[in-house]
Amino acid sequence: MRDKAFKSRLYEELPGLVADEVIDIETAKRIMDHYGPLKKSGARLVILAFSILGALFIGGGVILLIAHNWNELGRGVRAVLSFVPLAAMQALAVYMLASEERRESSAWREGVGIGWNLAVASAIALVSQTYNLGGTMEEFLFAWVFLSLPVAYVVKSSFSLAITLNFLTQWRFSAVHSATAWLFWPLLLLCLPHIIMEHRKNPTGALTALLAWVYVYAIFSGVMGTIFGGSLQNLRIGMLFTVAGGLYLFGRWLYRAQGASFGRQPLAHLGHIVLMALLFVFSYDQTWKILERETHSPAGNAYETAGVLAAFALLWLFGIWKAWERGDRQAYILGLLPPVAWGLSALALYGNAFRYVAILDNLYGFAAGVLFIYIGDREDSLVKTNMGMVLVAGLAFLRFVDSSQSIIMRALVLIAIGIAFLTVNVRLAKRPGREAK
Amino acid sequence: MTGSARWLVPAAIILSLVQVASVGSRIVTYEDILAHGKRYLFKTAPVDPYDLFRGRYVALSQENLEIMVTEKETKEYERGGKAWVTLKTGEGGYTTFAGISKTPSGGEELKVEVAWAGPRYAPPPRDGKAAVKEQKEWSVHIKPPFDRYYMNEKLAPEAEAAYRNRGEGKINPYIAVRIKNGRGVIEELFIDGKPVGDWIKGKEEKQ
Repeated sequence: MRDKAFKSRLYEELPGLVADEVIDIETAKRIMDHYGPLKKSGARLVILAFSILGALFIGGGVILLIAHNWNELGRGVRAVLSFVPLAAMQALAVYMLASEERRESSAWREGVGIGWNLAVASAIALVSQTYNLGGTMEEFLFAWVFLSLPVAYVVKSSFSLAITLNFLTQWRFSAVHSATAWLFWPLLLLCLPHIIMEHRKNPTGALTALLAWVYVYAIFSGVMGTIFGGSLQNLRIGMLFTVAGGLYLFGRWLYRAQGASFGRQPLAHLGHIVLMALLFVFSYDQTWKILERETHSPAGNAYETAGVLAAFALLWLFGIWKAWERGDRQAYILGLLPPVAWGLSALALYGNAFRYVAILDNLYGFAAGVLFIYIGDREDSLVKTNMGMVLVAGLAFLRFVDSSQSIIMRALVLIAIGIAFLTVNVRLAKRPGREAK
Repeated sequence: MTGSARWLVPAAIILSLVQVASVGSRIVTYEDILAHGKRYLFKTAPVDPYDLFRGRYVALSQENLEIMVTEKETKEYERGGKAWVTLKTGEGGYTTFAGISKTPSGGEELKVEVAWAGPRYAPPPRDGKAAVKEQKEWSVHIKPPFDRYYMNEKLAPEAEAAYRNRGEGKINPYIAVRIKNGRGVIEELFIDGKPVGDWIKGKEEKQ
């Protein structure tokens, strides 16, 4: 199967190659004949969307019909009927998989995948209702996730995986104090092969991006659950920065070659946003004092915390190595925050220097913002300049409203920042005809 | 069928069988409990919330969900963890929770979830003249597995409303539960000795 993204880029390059006389027009035509026409995805997306909606509406309608006379039926009949939606979707899946044409159709795959996934949930829910089982949302979600995860691989449905990932995340929130919460990570890893396969097939595709965003959201949710529900509380702040830094650097390496847009780079951009947010949050000395707070958690969660930390520390090291290898020095501006955060955590915890570490955090954020502004100015990149200004202005605003600081200190900081802004403005004004990048 | 696709149909069939077996095994277990479990009656008080995934149900709050323990014993129980409570049938044939342990003892008991465990500050005794001192007690709050009874969407709020309008002590709600090997399944919700559906119909006929 020809990679659609590759074809699209190749066809965009051909006119330029002809204009530069790298190839002639005849060669360009032969290349296009060889790869075939570029199909518009619009019509296919509509078919896919209708397939998904059709599956959802039919499933919902059938469930409502059964529910209407549910209470009049005996318990045995209700128990058997609980299987009806599930059995129907299983049969449909086998029917779909038996034909190559249907297997290759994304409309079929996604429609059946979603229907089968939801049918698993309906079977569990209907049995619980039939036998008046209480249980917890945690148990229901775990059973659903565990039984529905393989569906995405068998029918190759990305939407089914997205549903499973979403409810795996919900399960993690509800199981935050449970001794089995650590199971979140192996289940999350089991979702990864499908995402990697989608990425290889179509690195900049919409489904790939959707899965990546949902996956990154799941990772952060799991980390938050581990940090705030688990043990080893002294590691919390360093862990937050390590996870964000690891995702940021790994994401920069992963998407750099494709030149993907913001929406298609969830790892790098979410990591970037979280790192900046953490700089803001930890610009207060009170925030550093969460290191002093205890949490009550099952003892086993210490292994989960240590395992998650080790995994993201390795990811961060990999990202730093790759950034050095390709000379991506800009990655270091935010990428070096994790070791800085660990140092500040140690200083706060063992030196009891909460106020000073907050000041150092502010200084780092301010320096990072100035660097981004400088780089943006040098490269004529408004995005980078704006990024730097958001950092500097954000920190300035937080200090302005921070009543724990003296008025004189706040005044001096603001004056210094104002001078910096005016200086940048003068330099920008000296450059006529700048275009946004 | 191409090489890589040959396994898909068998994989789908195997996955289907695993799913059916997983859900089906629950049905077999619960039917066994209802058929061969011992019957217990628990006094209860119904409330009417809505469960997004499982439809309309009447939430049941049993009495005696707080079990007194020692300070040392409290540390054995973690929120969200499992415990075993001893069942004691008393006055009027109703069952209460008498004791708690971390492991099953093989007697009449039920597996529950620990809601929380910690100190319980009892009001200090008053002797008129002596200085008042606080007494600290320790307890474990449990969450039994039968905390809801699913009903028709129209009947659930009616049952709850009828209960709330009952007047002092005029209605006696209780659940019949079958318990076997520590697992319990609700058999029926009774109000004044009648199954709740019959009780509501009886009230409607009187009105």
